[in-house]
Amino acid sequence: MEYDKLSDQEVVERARRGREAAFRELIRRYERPVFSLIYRLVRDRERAEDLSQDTFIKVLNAIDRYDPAFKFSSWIFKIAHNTALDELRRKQPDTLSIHGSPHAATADELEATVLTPASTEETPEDFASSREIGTHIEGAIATLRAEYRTAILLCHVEGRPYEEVAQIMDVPLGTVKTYIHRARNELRKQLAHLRI
Amino acid sequence: MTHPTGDRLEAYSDGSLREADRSAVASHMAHCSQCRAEVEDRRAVLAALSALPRFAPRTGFADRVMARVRIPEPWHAWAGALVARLMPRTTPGWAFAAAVLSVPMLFVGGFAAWLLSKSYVTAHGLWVYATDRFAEGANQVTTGAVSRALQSDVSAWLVAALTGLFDSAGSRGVGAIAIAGGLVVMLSAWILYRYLFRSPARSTTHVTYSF
Repeated sequence: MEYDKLSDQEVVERARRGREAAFRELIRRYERPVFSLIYRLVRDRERAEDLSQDTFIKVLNAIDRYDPAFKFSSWIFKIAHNTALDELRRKQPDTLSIHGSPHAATADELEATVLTPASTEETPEDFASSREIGTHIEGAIATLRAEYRTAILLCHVEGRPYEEVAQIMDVPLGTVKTYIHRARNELRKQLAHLRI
Repeated sequence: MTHPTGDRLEAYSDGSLREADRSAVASHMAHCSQCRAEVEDRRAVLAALSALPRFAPRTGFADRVMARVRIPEPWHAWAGALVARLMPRTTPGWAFAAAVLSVPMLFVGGFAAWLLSKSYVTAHGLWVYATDRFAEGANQVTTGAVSRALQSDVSAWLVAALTGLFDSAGSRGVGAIAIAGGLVVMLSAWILYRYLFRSPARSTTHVTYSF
């Protein structure tokens, strides 16, 4: 069966009937979006890996309790967001660097903590240029409040509409608009010197 | 010159401004380099955000997750697994299971054949008798059903057969038959346990080489 042609709801329906391939399809669809969101929130690869795993385990083990009235993406992002927020409340996040964790003790650890983009379709020149811009934008995002960060990432990186972001974050629509407005302004101020 | 507010410029930048306001802001920007620069700045931020890459977890992420996920089992898979678990795993297991299960079948079949060999017994008569007795037993199960069963013709026949066995074989003979029957039952139980409910033991030979 070609799962990639099915909607999220149809894949979830098959997962409820005990099809392992359906579970794997849900992981394939959401592992990168969920990991990226959590990684940018907690700013530590190892913790992001663990929290992403926890998110998927919670979601997939509760697949019978999923309410099809809501979008599956809203549900999984909501659990990812809450899982990351719980972690942030417990621990102070590290400073983000796409060149690797500043706390890495060895060259291997440094290599293991380098941010690895999912896409490899860029040319080396494009990658070097985007990596330069990426360093600044990632650094600027890292300074935002967690709520602003979540809202701006869901809206601009994941392309979720404001209504869905409000549902995921469990806040009113107006609050999401405020978060995004303030986040954009802060980013613009921080990146003004680059004239990007 | 009155400049558009920051909110309007932001809405203009991301394309969410209404059409009427949009043309007003556009005509203002045609003459205002300051607002033009601000819109360009805002659009550059939006473009940089949209170009942010997605990160991939380490290889094997799906396997690590799936190792801790309980996949719901549909009822037919559960029933199939139960049947597969009860099935013998070896040829001797099948042979013994068939032999053990055939014992009650042989008794029932032999008894039915003996009954039907009588000229006054028919299959229809047996069916009517069995259903009548069942209905009667169900109705009177709480009112002395056991005592009535003991007084029935079948019970009388069983008692007579056992008395005849005692008379012909003597108490020692009956004791020997009972011991033999008990041994057969114990052997059957052990075979069932060995071949149906326990995985076949694997003998492993460990060889150590020293150089």
